[in-house]
Amino acid sequence: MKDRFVFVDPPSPPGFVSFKHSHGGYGEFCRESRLRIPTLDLFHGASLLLDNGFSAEIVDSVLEGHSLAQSADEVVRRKPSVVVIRTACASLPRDLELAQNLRKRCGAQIIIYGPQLAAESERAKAREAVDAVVAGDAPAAFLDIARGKTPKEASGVWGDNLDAVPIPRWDLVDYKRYTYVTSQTSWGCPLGCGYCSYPVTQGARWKTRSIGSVVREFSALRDRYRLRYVQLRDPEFTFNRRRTVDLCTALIEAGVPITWGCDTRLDTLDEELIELMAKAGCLRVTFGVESLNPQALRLMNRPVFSPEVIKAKAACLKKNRMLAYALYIIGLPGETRKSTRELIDFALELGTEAASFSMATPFPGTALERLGRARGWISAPDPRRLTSSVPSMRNADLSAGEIEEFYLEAKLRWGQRKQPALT
Amino acid sequence: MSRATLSKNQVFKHAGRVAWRKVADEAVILDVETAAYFSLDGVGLRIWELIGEKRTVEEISRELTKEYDAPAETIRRDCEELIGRLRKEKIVEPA
Repeated sequence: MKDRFVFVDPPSPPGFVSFKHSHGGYGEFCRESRLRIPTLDLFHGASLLLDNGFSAEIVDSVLEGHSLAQSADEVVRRKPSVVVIRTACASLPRDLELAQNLRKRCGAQIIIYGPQLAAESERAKAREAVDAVVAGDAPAAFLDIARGKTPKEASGVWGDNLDAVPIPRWDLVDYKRYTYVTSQTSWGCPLGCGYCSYPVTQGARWKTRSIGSVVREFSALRDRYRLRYVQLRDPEFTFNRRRTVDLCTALIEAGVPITWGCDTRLDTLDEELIELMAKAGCLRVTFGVESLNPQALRLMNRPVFSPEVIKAKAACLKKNRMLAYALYIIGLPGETRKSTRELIDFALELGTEAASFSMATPFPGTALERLGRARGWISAPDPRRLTSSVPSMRNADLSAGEIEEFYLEAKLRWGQRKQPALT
Repeated sequence: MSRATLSKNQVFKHAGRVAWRKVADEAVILDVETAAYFSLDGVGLRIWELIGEKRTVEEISRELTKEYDAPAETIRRDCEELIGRLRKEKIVEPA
C-alpha cells in the first residue's frame, strides 16, 4: 500500500501570524497581520507527489487558525502514514512540540523540513522529536522518499530542471481564503546583499523555469482555480532583463492570463521594462530601499542609490499604475540615530502606496550574521527570536532596544501618514 | 455605506490605495493596504470604468440604461448597491 502523506503548516505562535516562505524560507512572524499567505513549498511537495500518483494532503493550520492541539487532531483524523511538518527559524521549538504530540498519537513516520535545518545544530534539536530531518530544496526530496529512498538518501534538490516544479494543487485547501496565492519562476540570487537569506537557502546561482511553464501555470491559475492575481516569490524577478522581456511578451501573447506582483531591485528596472511589465499584468512591485546610509549599504554589499534615483523609479511605477511597495531595514550595521531618522523621513516622503519596516535580523549563513557574531552584536542567539519584528541584534551605534524603538516609530508614523493618490 | 445614503449627485473615484488592470473583460483591483484583490466583470466592470471617469452616480446609472437592456430602476438600484459595496471595501472614495 502506498504511503499516505499529510503535509502540515504548523500553527502560528500565539500573538503572531507566520509567513514561513519569507526570507528565503527562514520565515517571518508578524505581530499583527490580516494576511494569510500560503507556504508555497508545502504545495510544491504535496502536488509533486499527487502528480506522480502518490497520496498527499495538506493541513494549513495557519490558515485555519488552529491551536497546536487542533492541528494535531486534524492531522490524526486524516490517518497519515507519513507526516511532513514545515518549520521555520523562529518556530522550530513549537513545531517540534507538534511533532512530539503526533508521535504519541499516531504511528506515522514524522518528517520535519525547513531551510534552517541545513545547520547541524538545528538538525540535532529536531532529531530527538522526529523520525527524519530534511533540509534544502525539500519538495523534490519527498518524491524520493515516496519512492522508497530513506530521507538521508533523498537528494532534495530540483537541480537545474526547474520545469519539474509542479503547478500547485491549490484545491488541497480552501485556497480562496488566502489573501492571494503565490508562485515562483526563478530561484537563487547572485547579488549577495549581506542581510539577505535567499543566496543562503536557494543558492547564489540564478535559476529559472522555462517561459512556457510559467505561462501554463498562470493560465491554470485562471482557468482551473478562477484566480485573478498571483504574487511571485522570486528573490529577484527582473534580475535578467532579456528573460523578463521574454516572459512579459509571452504573457501578453497569451492574453495576460492573470495579474501579478513581484519583488525586485530598482537597479534592474528601467522605464521601458516597467511599461512592458504593466502591459503583461504586473500590478505591484516590491523593492528594497533598505537603507540610505552609504556606510551601511557598503557593509551589506549593496549598491548605493541616491534618493533621487529611488524617487524617479518609484514615480515611474506610479506612472504605469503599479503599486509600489518599499522595504526598509532599521538598524543595519553602520546606521546611526541620525541616519535612521533620515531613513524613516525618506520612507514617508517617498510616498509609496505601501512600505514594510523590519529590524536587522542575523539569519543563519548571512554576512550580517557573521559580522554580528564577530562584533558581539547578536543579543539573542535563541533562534525563536529570529524574525524581523523582534529585536535580535545591535550595531556599533544603536542598542537592540533603540532599534526596536525606531522600528515602532517608523510603523506608527507610516500608519499616520496621509494616503498618497495613485494617479 | 449603505445604498440609502448614496446621493445621486455624488461623484466617486478609484481609491489611491488600489491599482487595477483590465484582464480578459474583467477589472482586477488590488488593494495595497490589505493585499486583497477583487474582480469585476460585466456591468460591474462598466461601473468601475465609469467611476474612473468621475461621473455622478446618476450619470453612471443613465449611461448603463443606454447600454443594457434592463429596467432603469433595476439598473439604478444595482449600480448604487455595487458602489456602496466598493466604498465599504474602501476601493472607491468620494472624489
